[in-house]
Amino acid sequence: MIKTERLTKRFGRFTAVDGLDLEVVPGEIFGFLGPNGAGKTTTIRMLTGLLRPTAGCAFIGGYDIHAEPLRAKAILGYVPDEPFLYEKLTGREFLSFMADLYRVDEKRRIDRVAELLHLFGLEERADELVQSYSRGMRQKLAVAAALVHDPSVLILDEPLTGLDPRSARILKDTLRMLAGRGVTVFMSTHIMEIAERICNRVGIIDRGRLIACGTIDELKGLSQKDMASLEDLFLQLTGGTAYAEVVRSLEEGDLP
Amino acid sequence: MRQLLLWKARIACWNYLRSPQARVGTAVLVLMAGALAVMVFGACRFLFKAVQPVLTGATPVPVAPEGELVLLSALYDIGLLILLVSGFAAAFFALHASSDLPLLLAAPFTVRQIFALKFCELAASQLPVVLVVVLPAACGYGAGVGARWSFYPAALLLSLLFLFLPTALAVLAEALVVRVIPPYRVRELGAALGTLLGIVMYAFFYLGSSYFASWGPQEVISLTDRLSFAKPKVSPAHWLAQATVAASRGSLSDFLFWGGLTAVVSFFALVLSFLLVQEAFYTHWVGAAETHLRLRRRPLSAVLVANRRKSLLSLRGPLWALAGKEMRMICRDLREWMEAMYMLVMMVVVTIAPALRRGGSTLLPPELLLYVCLGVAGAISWALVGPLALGCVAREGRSWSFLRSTPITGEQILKGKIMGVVAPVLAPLLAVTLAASLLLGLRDFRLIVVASFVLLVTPGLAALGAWCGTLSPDFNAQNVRQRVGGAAYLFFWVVSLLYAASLAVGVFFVAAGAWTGWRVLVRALGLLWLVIIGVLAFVVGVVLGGREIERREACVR
Repeated sequence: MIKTERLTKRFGRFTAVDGLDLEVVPGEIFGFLGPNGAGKTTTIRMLTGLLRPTAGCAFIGGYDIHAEPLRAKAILGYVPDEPFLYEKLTGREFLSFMADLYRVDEKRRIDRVAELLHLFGLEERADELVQSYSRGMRQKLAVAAALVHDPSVLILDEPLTGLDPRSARILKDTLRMLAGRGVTVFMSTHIMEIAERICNRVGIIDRGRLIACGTIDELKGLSQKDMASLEDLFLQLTGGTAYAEVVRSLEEGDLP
Repeated sequence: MRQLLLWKARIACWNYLRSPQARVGTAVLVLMAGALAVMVFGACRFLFKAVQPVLTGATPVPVAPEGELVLLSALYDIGLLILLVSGFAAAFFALHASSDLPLLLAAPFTVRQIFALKFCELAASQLPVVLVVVLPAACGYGAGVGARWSFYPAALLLSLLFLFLPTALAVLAEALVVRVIPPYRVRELGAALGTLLGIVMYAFFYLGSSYFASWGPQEVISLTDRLSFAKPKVSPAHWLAQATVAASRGSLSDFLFWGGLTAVVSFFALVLSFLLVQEAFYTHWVGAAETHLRLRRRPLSAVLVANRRKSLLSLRGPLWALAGKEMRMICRDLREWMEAMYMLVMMVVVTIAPALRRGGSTLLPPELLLYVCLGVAGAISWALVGPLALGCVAREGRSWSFLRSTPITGEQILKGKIMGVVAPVLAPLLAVTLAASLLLGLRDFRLIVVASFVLLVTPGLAALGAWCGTLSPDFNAQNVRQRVGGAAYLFFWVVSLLYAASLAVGVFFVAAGAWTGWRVLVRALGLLWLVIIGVLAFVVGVVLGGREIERREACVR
């Protein structure tokens, strides 16, 4: 499970994440939504131990990520927002490397790597250097690497960016399957439809603060309009309705 | 289009003047360039003034009929070569690695306009070389032969041709090469060839300065007979030299003929390169060529996997994985090797050349020879291992956050990386140090002492380098040389000197055993000291480097 207590991150005077309290239970897919610059990636980086919180703490599977980083990271799978991978390794080598870092035993490693390459359709190009991969292929490889050690907590930062429809579908099905097995999934996304379809619960962050959290139905209940979609609610909560003014101005040609 | 050019120029200027540090750096660069230009001018003036009496027949020696022309042509050949190499690199980055290409291609500009813009960028990047090397050389020639004032505007015009011709030829060569070799491989090969050229030039200037110091005008003139590369009349350097000589003698028609010929050929190269680049933009856009495939040979990897399964000593686990990954990253990227090679050649030239210059090792006292060889071995280890170890953390690039999200400590990362750096380097390092020792005249069992010394000091040196590299790594650096900040680099120098001094104390004790009564004990203490220092350097490097990694946030922006 994932738990944060008053998690805060400041960069100088700027507060990127402000007193975030969250709890994601095993078997749950949690969607983390927010406009650009709201603090999603900063939160995820603190959850994965890449950034040190200014205040508060984060727990992964009961381990404080900053007090016991190795234990927490051992059960964690992470997909970063940009798939920067080792260009001079082949896809197969990269997955084997990640498996070794997580101390996956050799028999399991060979089977698991082959399985993941097959699942994400990377088999044919598994022995090419990563530098020859397209962005989508890199993203698939990053997702495969996060799954190579059967993590019990999975944190994904915009995992569907760059994926083709088939791979996106595979990933969504995989996430549901993993949640069914009791894996905790924490996922940031901009795509409301995906959040609506696969997430059990959703949290909306704006300017570093969690402004709404609950199931899709609970959140829809907060809306002022009947039959509102998650997108409407998101725009209502994050002040995005101002877009209507801009669209109207564009229509009328008022903009310079 | 003009607006775009202006914006480009503004951005370029802004980069040089954006902060007080940048302004200071720019001022220092300008001063250095000015000093270099004065040196080139002075050297050429001195050279042509010295050979002038011989050329004009004032001194009765056999003179080649076109000695002056050949000499000038040879100098221009060197200038053109430098401009071609730098032009090729600049063309590669402008047409393949430039971040603004997708924007420009999507904007309402024709390919010709984009090409013209890129050509202007390239020419501008070549301008400093022309102003610092070519123009002063031509002016130095004019001053040396006592040319009239009208020569100098002509020299300026010729310098512009120098800007135009190599740039066009470089773009042409780049467009042709990229058709045959995938761009990422071109980048590596380019870096390798550029470094080799740098090595040759460095060795030439270092060794050549003493060789040519004793030469007189006659020797210089007689050399022109042997400069066969400068004689072909189809060489652009020869045409430019003809134009320069014509300008110095006031022959306008000859100047226009040779200058015009160069200009026409340059224009032809420019048009051809434009056609090639245009075709590349429309068919296999050059900027997208990074997606060229590079297949690893499946059968070989399958064999390796099979062998690994059969191996009794199955080396798995995070440390070995990190070491293996590091070795692959180094061995598959020529740029990594070239930096180390450059340092290695530099160090060999600096340490071996003085001994050779004095007539070989015969002047070295035999009792000192071993210690000199140990010093040379240490210096060579530093040169080969230093750059690879110093940049080992930053070599992760933007994958760093990925690695830091895994359950691996900073110390483990450093140990794995040090293993990955030292393992591929040891064999060439031993070969080079032993060859250098042999060259200096060391024989018998003492060669084993040198080899053992190398094996002892190298891991510690790599660990210290890796530690210094953790102090200010630049994970976004494209250039291998820019992976660590200047302060970390200087700190590595200081730490290396301290390490060398500590090792020297041990070597001193070992040597001292030969002339005191406590021969065995003192030698044993010296050896023990050496082992302790070697191990301590490794431990200190790993522990402090590991702490530094843990202390820093692992986010790459």
